[in-house]
Amino acid sequence: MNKFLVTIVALMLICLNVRAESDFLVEEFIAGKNYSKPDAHIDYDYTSTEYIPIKLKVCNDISTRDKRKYLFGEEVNLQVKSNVFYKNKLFLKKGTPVTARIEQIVESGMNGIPYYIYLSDFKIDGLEESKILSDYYKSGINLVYWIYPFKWALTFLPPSGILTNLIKGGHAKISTADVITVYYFPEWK
Amino acid sequence: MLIKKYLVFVLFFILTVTSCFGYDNEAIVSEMDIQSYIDNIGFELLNSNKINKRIVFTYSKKDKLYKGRPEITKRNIVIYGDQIQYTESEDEMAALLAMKISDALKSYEDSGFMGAIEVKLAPKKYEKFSDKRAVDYMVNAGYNPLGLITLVQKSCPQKRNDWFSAHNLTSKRLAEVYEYIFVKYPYFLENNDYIDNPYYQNFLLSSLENRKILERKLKYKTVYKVKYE
Repeated sequence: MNKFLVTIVALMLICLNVRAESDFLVEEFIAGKNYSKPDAHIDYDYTSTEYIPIKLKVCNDISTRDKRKYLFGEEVNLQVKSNVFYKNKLFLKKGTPVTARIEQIVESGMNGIPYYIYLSDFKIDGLEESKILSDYYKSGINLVYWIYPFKWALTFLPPSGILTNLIKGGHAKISTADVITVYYFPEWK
Repeated sequence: MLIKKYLVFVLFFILTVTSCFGYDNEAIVSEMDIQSYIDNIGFELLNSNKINKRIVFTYSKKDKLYKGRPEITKRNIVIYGDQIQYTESEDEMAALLAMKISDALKSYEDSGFMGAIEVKLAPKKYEKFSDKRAVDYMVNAGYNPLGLITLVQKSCPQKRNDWFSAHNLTSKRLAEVYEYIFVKYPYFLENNDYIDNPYYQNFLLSSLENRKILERKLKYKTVYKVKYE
């Protein structure tokens, strides 16, 4: 009887172990690295309206035309463009290092849609990330403005309107001369 | 005798009317519950991601027959009856809303009109874009991004090809979302809460080839975009 019970329990344990198929990619590249859980911003208070605009610039040009490909999540180096004052005191010094991440790069597409570079996760030394409001993206030359009406005009000559599909938009470039403005809300949670 | 008949009639009338009202109330309360459930998750996503643009959420018990995009034209995210039936957990509801929030936000770019036109002209491109942004939104709001994989896995059919379609092949979408989570948020795969979920297991089963492609990409550290099937 005992042998029978032991066999049943052993079988159950084996079945439990093989129930879920494991992911070979996780085992090969991720397992055992003990990644920390990404911070969730669920405790917030947006009552305050006081904010400090901070002007930034990238340290090196970022262009979708570059031979090297940028990856999403890749870190980008920036710096504070000019001294920032708050309540008549120096709040941030010119040249303070800042980092951001490439959130996504949208490739150009049919009908003149340009490349887009989206930057997010701005981190400034000594400032809380949750208090920074940013919404920065840069696009290449957007040809949709004239291609879309042109496409409609060509609908009377089918199928010539389809030809506009072949036209693509321009490359996106964030140059060191571009001003990236983010807003710091010191009273926000 | 007449009074008795009258009383019986009144009693019958009261019972009929109250039961009608009871039924209506139940339906209304149920709809209000769903609406408030959607609102809670939707506004949590907006606040956690510091989205300072106005977007509203509406529950419609009807199925999505007309293929309009109110999230782009009105910034009104409508969740239809045939969409909500697939959301079994808060993670999956958050995934559904986060994808639509991304589209709605795009319609605020480039003076609003052109951003919306771009989403309509290149729906496949922005479908992938929305999927990835949805992952970020979910993580910032404290939801598990693997909920997006299970939602898409069970709700989006697999077409034969996507050459002339306004949508990407579901397998391609899933592969790109998986890669995005793998690279940006490996924590959720290392500590996988969904490993026993049958839909996630079915994703693992049906995405074997695409995950092999990703394995080659990671092994050889190529930076070029891989072509999923």
